[in-house]
Amino acid sequence: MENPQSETAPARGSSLDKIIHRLREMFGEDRAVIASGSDFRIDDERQRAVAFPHNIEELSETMKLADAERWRVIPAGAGTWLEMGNRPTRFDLIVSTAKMNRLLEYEPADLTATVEAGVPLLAFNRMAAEHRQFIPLDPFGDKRSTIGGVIATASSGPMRCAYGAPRDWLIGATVVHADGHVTKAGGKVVKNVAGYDLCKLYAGSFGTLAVIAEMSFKLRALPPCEKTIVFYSFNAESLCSLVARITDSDLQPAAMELIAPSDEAPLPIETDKFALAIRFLNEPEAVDSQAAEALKLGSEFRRAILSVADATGFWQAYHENETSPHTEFIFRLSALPADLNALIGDISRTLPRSNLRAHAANGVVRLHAGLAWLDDLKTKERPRRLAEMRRLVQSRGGQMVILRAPDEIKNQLDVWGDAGQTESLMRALKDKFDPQATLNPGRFVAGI
Amino acid sequence: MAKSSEPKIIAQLREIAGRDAVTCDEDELLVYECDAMTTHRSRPLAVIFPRTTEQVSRIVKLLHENRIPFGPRGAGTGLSSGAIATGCEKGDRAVVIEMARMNRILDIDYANRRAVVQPGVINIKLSQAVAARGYHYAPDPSSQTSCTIGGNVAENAGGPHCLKYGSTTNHILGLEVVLPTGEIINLGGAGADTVGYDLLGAFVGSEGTFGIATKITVRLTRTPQMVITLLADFMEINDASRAVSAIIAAGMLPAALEMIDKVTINAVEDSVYAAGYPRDAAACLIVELDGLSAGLETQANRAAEICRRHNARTVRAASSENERKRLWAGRKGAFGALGRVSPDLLVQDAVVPRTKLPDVLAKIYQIGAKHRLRLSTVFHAGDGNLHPNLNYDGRDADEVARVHAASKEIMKLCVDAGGSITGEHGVGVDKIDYMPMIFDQASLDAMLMVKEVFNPMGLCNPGKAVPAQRMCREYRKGFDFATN
Ligand SMILES: Cc1cc2nc3c(=O)[nH]c(=O)nc-3n(C[C@H](O)[C@H](O)[C@H](O)COP(=O)(O)OP(=O)(O)OC[C@H]3O[C@@H](n4cnc5c(N)ncnc54)[C@H](O)[C@@H]3O)c2cc1C
Ligand SMILES: Cc1cc2nc3c(=O)[nH]c(=O)nc-3n(C[C@H](O)[C@H](O)[C@H](O)COP(=O)(O)OP(=O)(O)OC[C@H]3O[C@@H](n4cnc5c(N)ncnc54)[C@H](O)[C@@H]3O)c2cc1C
Repeated sequence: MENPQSETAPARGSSLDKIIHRLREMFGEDRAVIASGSDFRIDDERQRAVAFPHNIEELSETMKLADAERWRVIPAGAGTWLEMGNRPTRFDLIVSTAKMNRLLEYEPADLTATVEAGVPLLAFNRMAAEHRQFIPLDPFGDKRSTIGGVIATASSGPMRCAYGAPRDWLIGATVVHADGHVTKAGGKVVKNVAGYDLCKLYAGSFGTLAVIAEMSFKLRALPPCEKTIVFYSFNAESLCSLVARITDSDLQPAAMELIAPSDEAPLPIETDKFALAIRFLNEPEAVDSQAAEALKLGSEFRRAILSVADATGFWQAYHENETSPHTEFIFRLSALPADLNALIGDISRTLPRSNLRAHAANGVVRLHAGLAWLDDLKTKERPRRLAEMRRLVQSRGGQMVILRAPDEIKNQLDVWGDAGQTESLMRALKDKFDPQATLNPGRFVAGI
Repeated sequence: MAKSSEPKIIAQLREIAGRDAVTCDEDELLVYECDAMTTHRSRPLAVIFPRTTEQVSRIVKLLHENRIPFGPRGAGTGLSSGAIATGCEKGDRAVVIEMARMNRILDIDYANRRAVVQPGVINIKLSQAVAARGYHYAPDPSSQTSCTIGGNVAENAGGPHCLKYGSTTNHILGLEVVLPTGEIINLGGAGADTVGYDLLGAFVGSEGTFGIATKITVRLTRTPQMVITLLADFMEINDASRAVSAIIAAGMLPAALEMIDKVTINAVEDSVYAAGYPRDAAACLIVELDGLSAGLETQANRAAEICRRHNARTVRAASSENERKRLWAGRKGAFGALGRVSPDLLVQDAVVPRTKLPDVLAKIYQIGAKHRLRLSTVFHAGDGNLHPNLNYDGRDADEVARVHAASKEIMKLCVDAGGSITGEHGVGVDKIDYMPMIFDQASLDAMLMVKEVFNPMGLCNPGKAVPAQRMCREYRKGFDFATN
């Protein structure tokens, strides 16, 4: 679990000025900038070079140049989540697809669309809403988050409960490899088994296999009606048993979030107790009947049925809260859905006083904490406590991933945890796709 | 082959799996010469029937060490010649590892909505096992009464209900796999999230070329509260396909949306699957809506209305569970019924964008007519997944040539429309020459890189899925038991 590679700050090979000069010379003034501050920030570097190709040809040429110059590249979208991952062993250039933001094809009657990687997910969904359609993903994060970034990170949010993960919606991808050559996987039709399903590998590869340039999706019709109900209890266990009852019923909630009491998170619901927020999205009759059934299943709990305005406000706050820049620690823990209560028990014993939320139907818990959180522990004890938590989660067949933590922690703990038996296959895959370790070196699992 | 001079490898295989678990009798091997697609044949060297993961692992290790090619097989219902034993070169033979005896359901875990099965479990057996508790296994290929879940994983099988519920890949949570070296590994978290590359997602649909699945964790799906099944019949096929496009365009998500044309209707009505489809209709649609009972009738009325607007002659709802079953039995028995019409049947599996259905379908019939062939279609219309079928007589060389020409033209038509060469049956041996129609060499090479990771020697199911210059890296050329 030690991560020896990240003990030192990333080494930088070529000088920024030289890189920027080369890029501008080849592609034009506006195609490369030196970013500073929190813009495209990866680690503790002060400045960084960012290339902005405007189309797949420029992206390919940029990668060819980087390959020829032996620059290490960090692919990026809008750059809102580049902190995620182990500290890079080295990098020279960030290649952002944010300016590749054209909608390439959209035939509403087919319920499919093809986009460039830099299209923001929210912008796409706002546009598709005019046709009462959407890509049913609601990952946490900034409104600038690009579809390429969401796919590369396999990000999903509360709606995963009903709609699954990015892998379930991506039907095709065009990628640019580390040496600049372009390949395609999948296609543009909703059902397709021609060739190996490389889309699955690109989704969640965190930019370590290739740079994603274009993607095709299947879409869903926007449900016309929604309702959110919140159940309250002073203990998590009783709400977990309600989750189990709902899971074993005919109800099809779109989201089911368990929220621990907290005085930090400003949410427009009661925050002094555990809350289970259940959201239904469907045709009006189906929403009403499910809400009625849910109230029956949870009849012993105190509850609130949110008005449309309150529900909108609640889910928006819930999303914003999740990525608050003021949170210093964010962890994601997974287990089998039925082990959620046990996992919460492990957490409350091992990492008490962290702010806990869960995708209750999926066995996924997020923990948030501020800098003061581990203050009463000795410096050495902190990583040990986190490692212990990780061990507990792994023994349940799950995983603990560090989404955000101070360097002091990241220097000692691998962000991803153990890749287990598949480690050598993953390494072999990386070696085939990126033999020179150009892309995001050292940032992913197993030192990839 | 005389018992007294039992070849060494056969003896070793028998030592691993048991005497009765290996056959190399040429007559018995005939059964394994092809799968449900009869156009490609290759007789195996031997067939072995393991019962445990450990046996599979030892068998594979032995074959790997001896550089003998091999391939897994389920029920042999595949329609792309994926389950036939092909060697590393044309004419070479290989060993079939038949998974049918590993057919136990190992665990049913309702709390996590999942089940763990061995790969030889027949698809429908799992749904039957969980039906009483209100669950089922969603992927339902029309062959579900005989195909195995292992075969479904390998092909990423679909079925009528994957319009709403997704294909096999959306329902697999974890796999235990014997890699082509014999090593046993687990892919995916079996229900809990894992980290790293989605190797599980890559394995599903790899057509037996990445290794052998020996244990499969699947998602269980809640059986819907209510199901409404409509049968709409049309006097013009064009009206039926426009109705399909219109239902999708309206944003409706039926559980299934299937189309059956006149030739198929009559083949079905002449067979044991007779479902009461109107024989004079140009085409029928089966539109199934399922889910919560609240509001479902409103949905069904909307779908029926769309059909009527596109000139459906009648639209009726199955009035009983029995009638519903009959409508489906007819649909699912369609290939079988067509199969009786002529000595041979070629089933295609192309996909087109759904807005292109009316146009493409009309052209497919023109191609059939041009080549004077008996062409029919029965297919997953809601997904745009076409199954044009060609009835022919394999002994008639002229007709065979016309079948191949028509096939190719249909494929090209669908690809030009922005589609794919296969939606659910897989590439196998059958469509491998069509792969360059949709992928350039660089894209095929990227796929082969992934294959190299799982199957570096190439001995596991060579010659399938993705065309390669060289099928195996190192192998015993023209291996034959008699001389080894
Ligand atoms: C504080 C915070 C917390 C978050 N928490 C969660 C969470 O709990 N769960 C969750 O699912 N998501 C979470 N997200 C992720 C978020 O939903 C998006 O995935 C992310 O913001 C992507 O947007 P981006 O375009 O800015 O990508 P970037 O931040 O630019 O890139 C993110 C990653 O994707 C890679 N990448 C980006 N574009 C490409 C491309 N075109 N080709 C190849 N690789 C590429 C990068 O190399 C990098 O590794 C969080 C985000 C933030 C900011
Ligand atoms: C009448 C009829 C209707 C059909 N309808 C449909 C349909 O609606 N939808 C659909 O998708 N398909 C359909 N099919 C095709 C076929 O049934 C499916 O492809 C099915 O998944 C094959 O399963 P099988 O057990 O018969 O596999 P086989 O045909 O034995 O093998 C298929 C492939 O899987 C590999 N394989 C088998 N077991 C394993 C294992 N344990 N590990 C790794 N690889 C393995 C084999 O090597 C081969 O490449 C139909 C076929 C028929 C005959």
